[in-house]
Amino acid sequence: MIQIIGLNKNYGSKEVLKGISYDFEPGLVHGIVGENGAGKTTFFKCIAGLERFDGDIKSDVYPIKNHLGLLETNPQFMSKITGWEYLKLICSARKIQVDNFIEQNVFDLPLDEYAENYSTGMKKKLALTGLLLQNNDLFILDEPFNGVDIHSNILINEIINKLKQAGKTLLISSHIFSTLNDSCDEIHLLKEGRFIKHAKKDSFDALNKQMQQFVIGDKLDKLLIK
Amino acid sequence: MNYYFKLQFLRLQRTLSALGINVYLGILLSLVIFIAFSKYLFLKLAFQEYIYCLIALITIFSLSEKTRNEKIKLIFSKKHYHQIRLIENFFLSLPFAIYLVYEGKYLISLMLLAIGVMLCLVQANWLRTIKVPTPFRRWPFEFVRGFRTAFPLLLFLYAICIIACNVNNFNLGLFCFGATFLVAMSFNLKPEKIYFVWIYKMNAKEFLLHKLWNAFICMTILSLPFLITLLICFSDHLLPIALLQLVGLVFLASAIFAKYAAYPNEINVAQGFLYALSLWFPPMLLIVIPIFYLKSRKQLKLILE
Repeated sequence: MIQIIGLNKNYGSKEVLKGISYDFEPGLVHGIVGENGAGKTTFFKCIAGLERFDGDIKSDVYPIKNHLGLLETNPQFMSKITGWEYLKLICSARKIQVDNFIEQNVFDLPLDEYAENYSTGMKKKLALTGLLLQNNDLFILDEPFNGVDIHSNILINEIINKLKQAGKTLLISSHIFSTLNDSCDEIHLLKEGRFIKHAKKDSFDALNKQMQQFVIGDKLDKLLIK
Repeated sequence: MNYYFKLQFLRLQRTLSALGINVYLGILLSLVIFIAFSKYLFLKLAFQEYIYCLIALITIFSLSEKTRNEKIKLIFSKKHYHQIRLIENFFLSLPFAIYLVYEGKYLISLMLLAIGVMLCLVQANWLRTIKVPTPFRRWPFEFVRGFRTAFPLLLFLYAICIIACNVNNFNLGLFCFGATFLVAMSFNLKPEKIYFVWIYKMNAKEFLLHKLWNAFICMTILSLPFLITLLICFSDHLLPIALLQLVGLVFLASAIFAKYAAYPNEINVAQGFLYALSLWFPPMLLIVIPIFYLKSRKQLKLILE
């Protein structure tokens, strides 16, 4: 369980997160949707302890960061480090011994090549492979489906399902509602630093419709599409 | 195209002001260091003009890196791209050529300028993709990266060390050995992205000890060829060689602490000054190391604990 209590985050005078409070149930997949700049990444960084904040974040595992796998929107890799060496670093940082990375290479990545030269999707897959090797209890996946091919999308969905079956807690963000439909148990709508809607699986469609109406409104009426 | 060069100047200005240095003072300082380095090289080395040209060409060749070139190509027309590369290569070759003229090596100076300018036609993809084998794969990542970036320089230092043995010049050999430590210290000075510290399941003290232990193992591996060569050729100079190895490791430790003392930022001017002072006067390390160590524990605690 991750318990968020009155989470506030400011960048100078700009309020990015405004008093978020929510209990994320364990063993579920929680989707977070919101437009660009809604505060999704900042919210995740606060949970990970990568940002200072006001309020409190509690969990049954302590410290959270040692049990958390964080997949960044655009995973960055150091220059002149191969995929294999990156995985070795990720595992040794958590004191995990992995003897055979090839067996764990579910995405068939060219692990002997420099990771910085990978495509956007490959970078994301390498970072995700690293998180899976770490055997975390909590996962935060920031835009996991962005930039990856259709095959990997299917594979990532399947990985999410397997993690859920193993009792792991996952927080996944997306700009696009439909990408979260299959994998999530709950979806939370973040707008201007606040959760404005929560929906369980059976009311995803209603939330999607509300969102469409909310986002589109009468904007398209102004377009003269012929 | 003019705006491109203005932007490059602006980037330089911003980098220097981030370090707290006025841009003109920074340029002047770089010039002084360049002249001092050139003079030192010509005073100390045999075949100095060739070694100097090699250093110059390696520096100029860095402009041929593929990603950088592709970015320029994306923005500018083919004609303007070639003009930019020509101007950049010419201006980077110029200081080396002028110094060679100052040393009276007119023909070599002219050749360097010509080759330097011609290198503008080269775009080095292999620089980006070539995978240099490294003995440090078990200990990611500082030495792996550093070795792959600096291996031509390390090979060069080792070659000079062998020459020093052949001409029975112990000081030159010792200089190369010491320079290896300086190169290794440079591997450890640039801060990594915060994520790569955050992932560690360690407290600040454990993290620093882990980094220190890895660095000591890697440094020992890196210095081994120099140590063996020097000990074989100058076996009667065991004490200064052993002393340099020991002091080198202490300096390496101070470089690691200095980096994390400023983390996640780069080392600032005050810390840099303190560090440079201890390089010049090593007993200062007795004060500098505890200061940097305590500060780095404090900085890392914010991320790791």
